[in-house]
Amino acid sequence: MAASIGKVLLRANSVPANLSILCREHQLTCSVRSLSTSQRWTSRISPAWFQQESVQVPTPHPATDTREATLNATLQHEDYFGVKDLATLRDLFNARVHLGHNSGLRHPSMSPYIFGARQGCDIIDLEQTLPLLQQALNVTGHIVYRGGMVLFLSRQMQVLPWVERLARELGEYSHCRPWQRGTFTNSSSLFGTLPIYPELCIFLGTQDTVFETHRGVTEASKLLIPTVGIVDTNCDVDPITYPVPGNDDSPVALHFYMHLFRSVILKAKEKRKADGVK
Amino acid sequence: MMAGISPWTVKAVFNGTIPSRRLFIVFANKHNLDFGTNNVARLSSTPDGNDRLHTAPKTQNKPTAKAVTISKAMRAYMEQAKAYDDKMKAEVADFEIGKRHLANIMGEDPDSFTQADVDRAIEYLLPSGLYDKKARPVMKDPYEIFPKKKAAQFGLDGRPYHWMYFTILPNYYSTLYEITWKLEALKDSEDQMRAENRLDEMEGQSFNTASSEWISLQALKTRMVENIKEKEYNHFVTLMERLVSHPLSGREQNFIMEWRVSLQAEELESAVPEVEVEEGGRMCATATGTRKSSNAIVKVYKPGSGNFIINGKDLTYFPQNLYRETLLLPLMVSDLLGKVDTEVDVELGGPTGQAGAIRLGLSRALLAFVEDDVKEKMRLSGLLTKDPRKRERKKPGQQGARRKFTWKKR
Repeated sequence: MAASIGKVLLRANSVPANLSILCREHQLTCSVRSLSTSQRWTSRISPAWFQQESVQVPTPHPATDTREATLNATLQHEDYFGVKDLATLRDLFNARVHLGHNSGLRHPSMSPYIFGARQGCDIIDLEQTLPLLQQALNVTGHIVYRGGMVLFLSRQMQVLPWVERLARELGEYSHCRPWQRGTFTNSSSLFGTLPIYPELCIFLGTQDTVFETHRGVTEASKLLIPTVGIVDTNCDVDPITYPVPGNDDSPVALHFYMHLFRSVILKAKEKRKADGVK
Repeated sequence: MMAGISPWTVKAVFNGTIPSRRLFIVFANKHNLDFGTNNVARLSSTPDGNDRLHTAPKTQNKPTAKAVTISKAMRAYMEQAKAYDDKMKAEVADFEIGKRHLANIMGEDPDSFTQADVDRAIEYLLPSGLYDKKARPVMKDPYEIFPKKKAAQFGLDGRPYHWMYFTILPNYYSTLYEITWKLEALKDSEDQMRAENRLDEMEGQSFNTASSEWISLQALKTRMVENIKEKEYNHFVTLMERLVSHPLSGREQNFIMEWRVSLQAEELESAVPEVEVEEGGRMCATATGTRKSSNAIVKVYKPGSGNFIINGKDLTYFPQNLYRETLLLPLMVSDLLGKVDTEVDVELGGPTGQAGAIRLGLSRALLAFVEDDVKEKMRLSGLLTKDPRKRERKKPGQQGARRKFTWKKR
C-alpha cells in the first residue's frame, strides 16, 4: 500500500518543467530547506497541471485488471472522486473561507495567496484556494482508496468534538488533544510497539495556539508523512505538503471543510468497495 | 530444597535481580509496587496469531489469494507476546514447584496448600523487621508480580483499533469525548425546553452530588488502563463537574455514577453489627475497636441504665477524666447516654490506646441502635473513623523515632 500511495504523491508532484520556472526565488530557497518542503513546493504549482484538460481514461474493470493496474488507472483519471463538483467558488465565499487575519499578523510565506487587504484585514485569494482545495481532496480520496489511514488534527476548541466525531464516523483517526512531544518522532517508546504512522495528516488548522505551529506539523514533516493543511494568513505554509489557504477560525468554514473531507472520504471508500480493492 | 530461601538468595534479591526461580520469593520493592500504574489488561492470548507468524509468507513475490499480509508492527508485537508468554509459563511452573516445596517444609499437604498458607509460611520462615509491609518478602502468583502486557492495539493490517489511538491515551480521551457529547445533548434539550416554555419542568432534575465523590486518580488509571497524570485527572474532574452542574444532569445519573463512589453508605452498611435478643427482650450488639496496640471488644445492651463496665471495673478503670470523657463521647453524640449498658473487654496498650479502642468499638456497636441520620452525624464527627497512627519505630543513629543524640560541636 505504501508503494501505491507513494505513486499518488509522485503523480501529484509531477509538474511540467516550464511551470517550475514560474516559482519565485524565495520559494526555491524554501524547497532546498527540507525534503517535505520540496514536496510542498512542487505541489503548490501542480494545480496548474490539475486544471489542464487531460485525456479521459475509461473506468477500470476490476474483474479483469490486477490490483496494480486498477490503482494506476485511477491515477490517470482526471477527477476520480468527483471533487470538482463538491465545492464552488461561491460556496467558499459563503463559508467565509476568504477571511484572513489582521495584516500585521501575516506570515511571509502566505503572501502569494493573499488577494489584498480590506480595512486592515487580509483577504485570501479564493481563486487560488479552490484548485488547491480540490487537489488536497483528490489526494485524500486516493489515499483512502488505497486503504491509507487518515488522521484528523485540530486544536480549535469550538469544533473539537465535531472533528473527533467526524473521524470516528468515517472509521478514521483523530488527534485533537494536547500533542505530546514525540508522538510521531519517538513513537516506538511512547506506544511501546513498532511505530505506526498515519498515511495522511489532515490539519484543520496548523496552529496549536495563536503563536505556535502545531508540533504535529513539524513531526509529520520530519517523517515525510504527507499533510493536508488549512493555512490561515498567520500560518507557515512551508512544512505543509498540500496547503489550502483559507480561514481556519470560523466554525462555519471549519464545518464546511469537514463536510468536504467527509464527502470525499466516503466516496473513496465506496469506490474502494465497488472496485474490490484489497 | 532450602536453597531457594537461603540468605544468599535474599541478598541477591536485594541487589535488584531475581535469580531464585525455585521459590519465587521477591521483595516487593518500589519497582514492583508500581505495577498497577502502567500495565494493562491481561495479555489476550493469541494462539492462532503465533501460528500465523510462522506460516506468514516471508517473500511477497508470489501473491496468493490466501496470503495474509501482516504489518511489521504486528509481527513485532507477536514476537514480544510469544516471549512474554513463554517467560510467564516458566515462571508459573516455578511458582507451582516452589509452592510444593514450601508445603513440604511446613509439613503440610502440597495439594491443598493455598495462597493464605503460602503467606503464613513466608512470614514464619522469613520473619522481616522491615517497617513497610510492602517491603517484606512475598511469594505470589507471577501474574500478580510481573507487569502485565498490553493486548495488541492494532489489527494484522497495522490499523489501530481505536480511533483515538494516536493520542496515546485513547480510553481517557474518548471518555472526555463522551462527556462532551452528553453535555451537548443536555444543552440541546434545555434549549428545546426553553423554547417550548417548559422551564418549570427542569426543577429537581439535577444530579445530587451528596453522599458520593469522584473516583480517585489511581482508580481512574486502573479503569482506563492508561498512565494518566494528575493534570489529566483534574481535567477529567473539571469536565465532569461541568456535566453535573447542568440543571438536567439527573438524566445522566447512571453515566455519572459510573465515575463516582458512594463511600459512607457502603461503610455504614457493612459496619452495622447484628443485634442479638437475649432472654427478657434485652437487645445486645457486639463490636470491636482498635487504637495503637490496644484491642477492645464492646458489648452494648439496650435498654439499660447507663452502667459502664471495663474489665470488671466501672469508669474508675481510667483514673483521668480525659479518658472517661473519651468513652462517653459516642453515647453523647448518639443521645443514648444513660439508656444503654456497656460491657468492655480491653487489652494491651496504655490508657490512651485503650480509651481510643473502646471509643471506636462503642461507636460501632451503637450503630445497631440508631437511625440513619444519627449514623451520618457520628460519621461526620469522626467516631467511626479508625485512627491509623501507630508508634513510629526507633531509627539507628538516633535516640528515638525523631530525637537525635545530644551533640555539641566541642
